[in-house]
Amino acid sequence: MTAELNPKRYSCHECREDAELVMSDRASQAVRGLYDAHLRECRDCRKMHRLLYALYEGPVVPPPPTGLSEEKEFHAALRRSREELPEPWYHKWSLRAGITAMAGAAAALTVALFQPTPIDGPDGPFDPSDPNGTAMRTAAADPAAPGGIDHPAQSYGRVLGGNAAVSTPAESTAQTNTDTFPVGTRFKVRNDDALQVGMVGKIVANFTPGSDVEWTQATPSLLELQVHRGIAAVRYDRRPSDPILYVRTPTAVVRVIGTVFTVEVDEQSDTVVSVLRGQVDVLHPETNSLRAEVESGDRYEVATSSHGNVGLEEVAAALPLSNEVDGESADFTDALALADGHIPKSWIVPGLSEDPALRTLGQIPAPTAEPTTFEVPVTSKRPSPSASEPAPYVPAAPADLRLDDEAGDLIERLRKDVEVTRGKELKATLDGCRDLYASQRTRYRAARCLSDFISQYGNEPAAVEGYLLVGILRMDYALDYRAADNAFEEFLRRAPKNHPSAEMAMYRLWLSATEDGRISEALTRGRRYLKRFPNGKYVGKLLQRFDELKADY
Amino acid sequence: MQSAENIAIAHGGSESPELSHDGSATFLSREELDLLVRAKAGEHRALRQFYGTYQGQVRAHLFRLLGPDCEIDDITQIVFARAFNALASFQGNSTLSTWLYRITANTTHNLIRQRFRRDRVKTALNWFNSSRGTSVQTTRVEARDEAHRILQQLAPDLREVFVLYHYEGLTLQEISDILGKPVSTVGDRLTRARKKLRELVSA
Repeated sequence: MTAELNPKRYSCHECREDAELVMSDRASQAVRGLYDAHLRECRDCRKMHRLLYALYEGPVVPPPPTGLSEEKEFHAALRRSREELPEPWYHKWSLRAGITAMAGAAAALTVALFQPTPIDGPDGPFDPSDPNGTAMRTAAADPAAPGGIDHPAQSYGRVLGGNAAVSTPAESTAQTNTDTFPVGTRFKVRNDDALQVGMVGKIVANFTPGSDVEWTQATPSLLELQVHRGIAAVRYDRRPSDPILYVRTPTAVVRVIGTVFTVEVDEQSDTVVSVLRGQVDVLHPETNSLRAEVESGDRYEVATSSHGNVGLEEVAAALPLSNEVDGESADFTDALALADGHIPKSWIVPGLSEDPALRTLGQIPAPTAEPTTFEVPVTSKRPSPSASEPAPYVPAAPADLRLDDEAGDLIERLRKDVEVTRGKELKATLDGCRDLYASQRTRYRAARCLSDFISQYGNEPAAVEGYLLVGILRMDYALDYRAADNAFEEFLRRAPKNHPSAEMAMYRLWLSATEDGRISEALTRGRRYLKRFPNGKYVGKLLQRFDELKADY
Repeated sequence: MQSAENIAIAHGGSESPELSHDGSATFLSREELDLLVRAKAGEHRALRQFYGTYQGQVRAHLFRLLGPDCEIDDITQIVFARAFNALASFQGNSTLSTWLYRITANTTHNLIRQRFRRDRVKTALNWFNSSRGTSVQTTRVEARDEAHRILQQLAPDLREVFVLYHYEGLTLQEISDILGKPVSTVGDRLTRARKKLRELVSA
């Protein structure tokens, strides 16, 4: 149209011809002037201009989902991808059973031909001369470690210590005299003892005396606990691909991305949520609508929608889950340092000093003010008292836990060995560790005590079981699987081959890989264990988690 | 119960072709290359990172292509599920972004065609009603809605090219790579798309 720059001849036709040039900023100044002048006079062309402009500008895109929604979408895509994987050819073969048998025979032949060494150790050895355990910490700081629940073998929990009446799901073959429990297990904790459990290798929980807690769900995207009564303190150092944790109570659902918190259900079935690190959402149990966001240092009572300060009771319940935090960050790498009984710096407890020496339970100030009540509209009415009763539950008859206290036995054995060879000096050190280990309230501190012992006396032949003990405690309470691996491997390297605890060390190596999600490594270690201890006391635990190992056994 | 072998996604492992470190690998930054290697090995965290990095791009593209649609979540999942399973065969001959556009285009192509055929009469009727009965004083939001309706009337092949060129800011060569069509075809489609839109807007 540039040849026709006469304003009188610039009609709707020319305007529409030039529209695209104007939109893409390619029109000359003169054409632009004519175009604008025409728009001022022509209503139809103004409309055309607006529409064309909107077309070239494009729609306003809504923001993508974040947080929980994003996690759900990711896991949904992951599930789809697994479903869409083509079925392997050998699954389609009608002689599948024959192939399985042949594969089993081939595997047995391979194992017979290639006798493995008892220790597989890609990581460096544990250094007893390193008093701060730096080597162990470095080994554990692996940001590329996989998250998520990738294999059914991870969907188990373990009792770390304490006593409870346990009901397992009817279809489960799990025995109550083993420390391993499946989804569906319900714990009624005795009134005189607490119970500490680990779940899916990622969560450590402490159930206070008298608590009634059930583990109801474990999928790659969701873990769920039901607190019927009592206090459940939970530490969940969640990695991005790990599942979301829901804690259900009769009157609320607590949604957790990753944090340290407690959930209490009192005698009236009212719920109190306290957060020491991170943040949780409290949802309505029926509508899942958001009731409150509870931040570090907050204590939220669901019945009255009131906020207050975290108090002594909640901190005491959570303290066995503590790991001292390096720096300000609070991600999974924090689970590296050893707890010493002080309240971690990362936990927010209002009124508590920043001085590490003063961060103890005794220093927590008593509540001085009434809790602040906010007008939080609750869209649905609270369930009536009758409705808030725990759901009818028809469990198998609960049975008391009868666990072998293997670590406790180890400490006793270690004390005796040390007493024989080195006398009172070492024994006194170990007595302190044993006393810490004896109580559920202080057991988590035994790891630090034993680490100190190892750093001083680790080269003593009699002290070799100390490595095993440190590994067990680091694994159970710090979820520090790499450090635990190093300790177990060091034990196997130092101990005589026929050492009575070698079986436990090999079992723990397998367990560490399993709970850490290193499935192929766990299978390798499991096969080594079964090869060396075909009638071992842990065979049932291996086969319980891995169907793959049954073919080899 | 899933076996361990079925869990890891896109078992590239030793079977997958290695990324070439010659010219073809220059499409990828070092971070992308590292991410790709880990994702090919089925590493959960790498897949999560991959998803987090590109889900915004895929969703935005789907929104621009389909408009507000309740199936966008579903299609996004399908796109990523296919991407996860195809990672093992990705050779690094384009950027990850372009590769995802290609998967998105393949995933949505048939869907857009089906919808276009199904909705052609309905859309035309709506357009007739709206263009006759309503005021010309359209607001910005109304103009956007109208623009979306007009875009949906564009034939699928033309719409794909228009969206990729004008909304996603890709070059004709990149669009040619994504759609697997010659650059001349892509250019022709773009010209026809613009012309058709001008007609629809002026109608």
